[in-house]
Order: sequence, then structure tokens, then C-alpha cells
Amino acid sequence: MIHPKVILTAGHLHSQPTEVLAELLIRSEVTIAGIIVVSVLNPKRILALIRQHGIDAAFRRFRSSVDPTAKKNTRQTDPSSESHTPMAALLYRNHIRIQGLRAWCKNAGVPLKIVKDLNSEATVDVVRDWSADAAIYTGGGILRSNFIDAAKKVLNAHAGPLPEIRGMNAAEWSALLKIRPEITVHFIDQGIDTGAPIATFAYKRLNFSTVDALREAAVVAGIEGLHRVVIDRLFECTPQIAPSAPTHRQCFIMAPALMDILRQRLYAAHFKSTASP
Amino acid sequence: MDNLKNKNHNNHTSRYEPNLRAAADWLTRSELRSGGSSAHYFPLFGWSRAYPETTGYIIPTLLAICNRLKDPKYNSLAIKLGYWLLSIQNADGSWNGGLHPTKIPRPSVFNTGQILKGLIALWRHTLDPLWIEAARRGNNWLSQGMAPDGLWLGIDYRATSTPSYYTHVLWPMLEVAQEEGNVKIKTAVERGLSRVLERLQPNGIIYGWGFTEDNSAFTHTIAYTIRGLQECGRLLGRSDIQDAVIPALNTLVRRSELKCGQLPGTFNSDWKSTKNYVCLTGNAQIAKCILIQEARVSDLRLVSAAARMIDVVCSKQNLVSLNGGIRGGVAGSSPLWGPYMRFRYPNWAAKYFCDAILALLDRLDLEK
Repeated sequence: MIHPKVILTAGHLHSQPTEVLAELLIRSEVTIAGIIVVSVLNPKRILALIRQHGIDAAFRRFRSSVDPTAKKNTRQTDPSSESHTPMAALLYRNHIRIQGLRAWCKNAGVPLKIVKDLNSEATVDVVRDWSADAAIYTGGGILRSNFIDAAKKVLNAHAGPLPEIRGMNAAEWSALLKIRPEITVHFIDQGIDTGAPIATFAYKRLNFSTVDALREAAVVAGIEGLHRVVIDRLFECTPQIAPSAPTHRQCFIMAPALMDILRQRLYAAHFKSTASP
Repeated sequence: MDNLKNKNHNNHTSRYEPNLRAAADWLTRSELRSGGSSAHYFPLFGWSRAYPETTGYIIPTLLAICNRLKDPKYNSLAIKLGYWLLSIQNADGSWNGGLHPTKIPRPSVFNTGQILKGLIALWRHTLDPLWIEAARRGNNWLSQGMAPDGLWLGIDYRATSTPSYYTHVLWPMLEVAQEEGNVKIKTAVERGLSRVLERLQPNGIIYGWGFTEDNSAFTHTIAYTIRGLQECGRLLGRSDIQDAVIPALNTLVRRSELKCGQLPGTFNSDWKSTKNYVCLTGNAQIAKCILIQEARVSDLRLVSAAARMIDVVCSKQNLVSLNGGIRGGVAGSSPLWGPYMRFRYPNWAAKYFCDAILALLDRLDLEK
């Protein structure tokens, strides 16, 4: 049996999804050629964050990416406990202890490359040198054609069903628009979530009463979905042109007023589901 | 569950109501002793003279605010402003352009059109024939000045030919024509709409939608054009007219979403913008246009886009100043020294801001 060889990308050195996925893959005898981490101390990236999220939200994201203590779920908790979160439950189930990507790479003997930009020539050269079967995107900014071409296949777990929910806040939008709760593992192409879907993985929306937990549930479903696709189907699937041009409206950051409504709905639905016999 | 519903309702109401109240109260402070609503507040020179055009279209906003906030003072003000407009109507049914009083009185197509909106709103609110009669006279004057193609000849404001944003005149003409069953005016309006739609470009731009003819336009007049077409399409039951603005709206939604709800103040004919400021009036007006389109297609993503654009204007509104000309007002530009109404707080910025919030609150109420 040939074992796949993959590259992972990460948005920062404390990316939990990247670390958990890397750990699951390596346990399944997938070779990780290396992990490319985009430096957060990059003015271009900080400006892009501010443009996209506003100064306050950009600062919070920046802080959580440089300060590991700002992260939650670094401990395994018993999933039967009332306080567990989807990520904590995943860590518990798989006996994973979060240590940060730098330490994880050192312990696992996986090369770690910190870059300023995923699309720079230097990064693309690294991708070519590592010569993996596929790259798995778990953060780091928008990918351009030079990276996509060099990696041959780039896989992503999108937090909502495609093609209906393209773009940002996908788990939140699919809940607000009452579209099925599932994540989509798909190829990345140059459009926004327009690459051909490979597989979908459902999760239970009613289990979560808060937006944060819902988002995290989608992230966990994404990690598990990517893991499954890499070990089961990586060689059999090839990037294709999506069957038709996207007709579904792209989602952007959800306005606070709409987020309020979603919070209320999640809470009400959760309350109703747990109250019923 | 009832508590949850109430909490949900209170959430979005409490999010926007302080801004709405502050802007509404600013509008009441803009009323001049001599009558009418002051065009703008300028921190150095204070309140300007009254502006009949905007005084007219503030009236429906005040009536809607009264409905939302359940405060009769806004109704009283709307009626008072209406009487003032009647007092300055020309014998031929028109109203003059510019601020009032003006040194060289010259009847204005655009201003007359905007005043009709106030009169028709008062007619529907009070059913007093006084208002519809004045509106009918104004409408007749407008229709008599139309060329056979349904637009106007001659100079009005800065234009030497009829700008595309005069769809914002065709709309109230149609409202009045429908009230009185005037088929002739309705047909003339449809001809005018056809001329404007001939200017529609494949990228959604409509030539001539700016104050000047160089095809660079403030979002303020872009929104006038779009809104006029949306409302005319609605009144005529013609989805082709309403659909004509969808490409432009899609571009505006995308551009604002990529910048946290902030639209650039101007666009040229390639949707490029070289200026780094926000025309706050335009931001609020476009938000309202998006909500009108959303009512046709029912898509909360559009509501979110509109809410984020309104949030930008909310964040620029001063709620604490001791200066009553600044507190609750909405500046022309952000930053204040931006080229649209530089350093001034126009009454139409507050009006369109209130309109946008009212529309958003109504839409969010449906999600209870």
C-alpha cells in the first residue's frame, strides 16, 4: 500500500486544527512532507485582517494567534462532561495533547517552514521541493495560482455545504439560512470556494447552543473529514473544473445584528431539543 | 420561549434605536423658525437656510419615525413642514431650486419632484385633499416640461441634460399619477425610464448618474438612480426595471463587504474609485436599496450587507456632543473633510440614515 505524502499550511504557530490534523494523519501513516506557517508579523497580512474584520476583531485574532494562552481547548476534557467543547472532545477521544506547531514538528520530526506569504516564489519553491501528493489548506490566507499549480492538489475543508454556502462564516450562515449542517472537503481553485467538492460530512447543529460551539463543531468536522479523505480517497480524486459557474451568493462576515438572531435561534433550538423527552 | 422572542426583538431594536432617535431629534432641531428644514449644519457658521427639496422628502421619513417610535412630535413636524412647502409653491405648481429664500428664483425639476414625495405622504397620512391638490399641480408642471422622450430639456442644477438620477423625479411623478389615475403622465414617465435604461452598461453602470458628466458619481446620486428605478419598477409592476439595477447592486454589495461595510465615496464608469473617503449619505441610501432588493429575493446575506453598511454610519454618528448641530447628525463625508459636503452635516444624510435604519428594523422584526 502506498502512503500519501502531504504538506499542511497554517495561519499561525498555534493553529490547533493544523496540529490535530497533522497528528491524526501521522498516526494513519500519512507522510507529512512539512508544515508551512505564515508569519503573523507581516504588515500586509495585518492590513488585510483589518480590512476584512475591522480593527477590534483583527486585534483579537492577531492576539489569539501569537498568544497560546488566549486559546481555549488546549486540555482534553471528558466529552460526557457538561463543559466540553467539540474540539476538547476530539482531543479527548484521540488522546491528543496540544503543544504548538513548533514543538509538535520537532517531536514528530516534520520540517516546519515559516514564510511571509503562501504565494511568494520562495514558498512555491519549498512546495515544489517537498514534492508531496497534495497540500492541505488549514489557514494562511488566499491561495494564488502559483501555489495551487505547484502543489498539484490543494484540499480544503469548507465549514458549510457547497455550492450553496460559499465564503466566510459558513457554519453560521448555513445555520441562519437553515441549510443542512455539513462541511465540504473540496479542491481549492482560484475562485472563492468554487473548486470541485470531494466529500461532505454532517455534524449535529442542535448539540450546540452558542455560535462559538457551532463554529468549532464545523472545524472539528472539517478536521475529521480531511483526515478521512486523505487516507481513503486522495489518490482516486483529481482536481476538476466545477460543473458550473457559481450561482450562489458569496457569504461575507455576518453583521452583528444577524449574529444576534443566530445566537437566539441556536439557544432556542438547543433548549427545545434538550427539553423534549 | 416568549422571553427569548422578546429578547431577540430587543436585541436589534436596542442596537439601532439610540442612533435612530438621535438622528430623528437632529432632524427636529434642523427646523428653522422661518420654516423648513435647514439644509445643513456647518460647525463654523451654524445652520444654513432651509432647503425645500430635502424638506419635502424628510416628511415621509418623519411619519415613519413617528410610527416606529410612537412619538407624535414627528408627525406634527411633518405636517408643519408640509404647510411651509405649500406656502412657497409657485403659482405654476413648481418649486424653486436651491436654498430658500433664493436671490434668483428659478423653478427646479428635481426639487419639485422631491417635494412631491412629502406631499403624497401627507395625503396618504391625513387624506386631506390639500396635499394631493398641491402635488397634482406640481406634477402637471413637471409633465408639461417633459420633452417627447420623457426627460427634460434645459438646465437644472449642474446638468445640461437630464441626469440618470432623475429617476428619483420619475418615481414621485408616478406616485402622484397613480393616486389621481393620470395615464398620460404614467406613459410619459415610462418613456423617460426607457431613455434612462438605454444608458445601462453591461457592468451595471448607468451613464449620467453623477452630478457631472464625466461619469464619476457620488454613491449619493448612484443610490438616487437605483432607488428611482426600483420604485418605478414596483409601481409599474415591471420586474425588468427592478432587475436592471441588480448588477450594480451586486457590485456595491461586494465592494462594501470587502471593506467592512464602507463604500468608497465615488465610482467611475469602470467601478473604480480613487478617493479614500466614505459618502455617508450614499452608504445609508445604498443600504436601503439593498433592503428593497432583498424584499424581492429574501436573502439574509443581503440584510447582513445592508446592516454592515448602516453600522458604518452608526459608528460615525456623534451621540454625545453638546452641540445640537453635531449630536445625532450624520456628516456628508467620513472623514469630515472628505469632498462630499465637506465639514457639513446635511439634513438629507440624517434622513437617509433614518430611512435605512427603519427599513432594517422592519426586516429584522420579521426574523423574530
